This record gives sequence, structure tokens and C-alpha cells, in this order.
Amino acid sequence: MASGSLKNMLSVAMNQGVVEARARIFGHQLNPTGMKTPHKLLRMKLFGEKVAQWYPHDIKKDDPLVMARQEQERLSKLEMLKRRGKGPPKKGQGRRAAKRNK
Amino acid sequence: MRRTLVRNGSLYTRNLLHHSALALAASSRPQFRLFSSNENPPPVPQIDDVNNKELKAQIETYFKGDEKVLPSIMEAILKRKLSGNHEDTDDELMEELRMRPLDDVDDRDFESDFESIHDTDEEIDDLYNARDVVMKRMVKDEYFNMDDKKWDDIVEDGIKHGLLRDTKECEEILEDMLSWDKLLPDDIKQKVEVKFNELGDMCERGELEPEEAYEQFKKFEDEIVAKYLDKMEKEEASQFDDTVVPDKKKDLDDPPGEGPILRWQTRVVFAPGGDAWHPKNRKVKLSVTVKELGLSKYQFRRLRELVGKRYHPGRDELTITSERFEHREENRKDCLRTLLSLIEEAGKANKLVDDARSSYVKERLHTNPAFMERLHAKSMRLRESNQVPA
Repeated sequence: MASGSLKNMLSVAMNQGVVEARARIFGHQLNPTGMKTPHKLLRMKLFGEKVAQWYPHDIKKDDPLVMARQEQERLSKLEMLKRRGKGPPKKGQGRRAAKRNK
Repeated sequence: MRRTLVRNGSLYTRNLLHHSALALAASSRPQFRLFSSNENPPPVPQIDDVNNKELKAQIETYFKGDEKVLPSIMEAILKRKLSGNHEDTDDELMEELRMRPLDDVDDRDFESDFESIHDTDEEIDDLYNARDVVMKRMVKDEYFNMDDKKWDDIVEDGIKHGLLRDTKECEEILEDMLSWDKLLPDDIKQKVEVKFNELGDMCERGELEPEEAYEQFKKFEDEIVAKYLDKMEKEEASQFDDTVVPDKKKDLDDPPGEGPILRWQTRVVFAPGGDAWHPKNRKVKLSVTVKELGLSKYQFRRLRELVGKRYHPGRDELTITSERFEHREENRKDCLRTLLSLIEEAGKANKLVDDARSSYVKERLHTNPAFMERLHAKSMRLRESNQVPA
């Protein structure tokens, strides 16, 4: 009985502080209470640039003349549509607004 | 004078009969002029001069086969050149000889030395078939067209079949041959140099002949070599008697065990472009054999608790992986830092176990009443002894 208890005591002492040491060495985040923590989000690498470069860069946006001409074309087309009665509806008279009233 | 003129004239007419009529007309005038000029000088140089008859006789004997006459012929020609009296006749003679080919010359006598000294390659009949020729030669001669790879194969075969047993000894001998200047100790070199200088000075002063000096130097060198050999034998005998075992550990610069202790695994992706960075290149894997770390029983168990699944008990191998940083070298540093931290943390087990064991013993003693009584009495006695001098 004594030797058994001694062995158990030694093994307990040997493994004392192992969890904290492991966390410190390998960079783990201890959460003994199981609460929600933002560690998972903070651990992620910054990937904003990676997402932003999904679409390639359009060099037309760098030229103000090209952009102005496109804007002019858009406005003239809109004017023609309005003249023919095909322009965008006023607020509150569209399909979704009408559906909401029902 | 008239008699000599008549004789010379008869000789020239005989020679001229051999040539054509044109030659007769061309060469007759200068000869007569020479005759007229001969009247002026005294008769003394004529005695040293060689006659046409004598020269012709010598040349004929040479052509017949007697080669010993050649030097005398050369001397005669030189004498006639120096006297200057027979320039036209000698020119005609040269023209005659030039027309005649020499059949008695032996080529082998000239070429025997050349062939023995210089070995030329055998001629290849068909140059368009060089590949087959080379293949045949390689089949015949094992060492034809020697290559590094072939040489390595030969050496390997020699080692396998036992022909080259002691390679280290061969290397030592080759090193000695390469640096033969360093074989002898410096004091012996100085002695030899001093002796050489002394003998040289004596030769320059004239006290000794070069041959005698050389013999003396040779004797001195032999004596020095004999002394050195005796010295070496004595040293070897003393070593053998003392049974001194050389410390081999100092010589070895390899760590104990087989192979490196830290084994690194990395990946290198070769991509086009100047930038060598690639996301696959980041990861670094470090493997260590735990036996090499020299841990005790308790330390080992603590290490296993720390690393968990990273330890492979079958191979006794601990593997640490890191891809935390962007560059591989940073990840290698991280792996090494992790390994050192693990070793340090595992090393704490001994202290913890000792503390636990001592605390256990203390508890057991506390629960023992007899021990406590004796301890109490002893402490009381100590207090009384302390109070007496006060």
C-alpha cells in the first residue's frame, strides 16, 4: 500500500504542470472553462489582400477620360429610357414595394 | 710557273669534258682569270691548299663505301674555302653532287632512337569507322579511355576482392610522398644544410675537389639517415615497452552514434522567376532520437506527457513540425527553440520527484509517535544546553 501510494505520488509530481508547459512551448491557448474566445479569429493570418486580388486590376479605372465617357454614355442611355417610359420607378411604386403593401 | 699552269689547265679540261658545250663556254673565262691572278701571291699558301686530285680521290673512296673518310673530306672542303682559290670548281662540284641521289643512307640508324623514345599511336585505316575502332580498343585494353567513374569502379572492385586492403596506409604513404619536405625533423635538415654549405665553401676555395666533396656529403647523409632510423627504432621500442595506449577519442571528430542527431526535412520548390519563395517551402520537420538526448527515466516520462502524439515509440523518434513563419529559416529556428524548451521542461522532472519523495518521507515520520517523542526530547536538551551560558 505504501509503495503504491509512493509511486502514485511520484507520478503525480512528475506530471505536475505539464499542461501549462505544453501550452507555453507549443504556443497553445488554454481554455479550461470552455468559454468562447476570439483566439481562433486572431490566430488566422491576414487574408484581406488575398481576397481583394481575386479580380484582376482593370486599367480603365486609372484613366479619367475613359471613365467620363462611360458615365456620359450611361446618362444618355438613361435619358432615352426615361423618354420612352422605361426608366427606373419612383420610390414606393416598384414591384417589391407593391408586394409589401399586399 | 709554266709547268703548274699547264698541269692545272689539263685538269680543268678533263673536268670540262663531262659538261655540255654551253657549260664550256660559260666557265672557261673565269678560270683563265684565276690563273693570271695566281702569279702575284707567293707560293706559301699553295702548300696548305688541297688539290683537285686529292679531293676527288677522297670523294670517290667515300662513295665506294668507306665512311671514315668523311671528316677528312670536310676538312679539305674547309681548307679550300679558306684559301678561296677554288670557288668556281667547288660550286660546280656541289651542282654535280646535288644531282646525284645517295642510295647508301640507312634510315633505320637514324630512327631507332626516335622510335624507342617516342611512342606514336598506330594509324587508323578507316577514319569513318572511328566508333568501332574505339569500341575494339576498349574491349582489348581495360584501361583505354580511362574515366573517373571507371577508375572508381576499379578501386571498388579492388576493395571488394581484397586487393586493396589497407586504404588508409596507402593514403598515408601518398601524403608522405606529397609532403616529403616535412618528413624529417628540422634539426636534421639544419645539420644537412650546414654540412652542404661547408663542403660548398671548401670547393669554392679550392681545398677540395668536387668529387671528393660529393663523396663526403654522401657519407654524411648516410650517417644521418642511419642515426635517424636508430632513433625511431628506440622510440618505437620505448613505446612498446611502456604499453602506452593512444587516446583515440581526441583524434575522432565525429560525434558518437551513427548519423546526425538532428534530422531535418524540408521541401524546395523550383519555380520560374527570380523569387524563390513558395508557400510549400515554409514547412520544416525536425526528427530526433530520444535516446540521444540522455534523459533519465522520470525525465523521459515527462517528455512523453509533454509531446503526446509527436513521439513515435517504435522508432524512439520525436518529430517537431513548424510552419508558423513565412520563411523556412525562421521555422527552423522555431523548431530548435521548441526542442530546447522541451528538453529543459523535461529536465525538471528529477527535481519534482525528489521533492515529492522527501515530502512523503517527512509525512511518514510525522505520523510515527516514537520518533516524535525522541525528536521532542532532543530539542528540549538542545534548548537547556543553550540556556546555560546565557
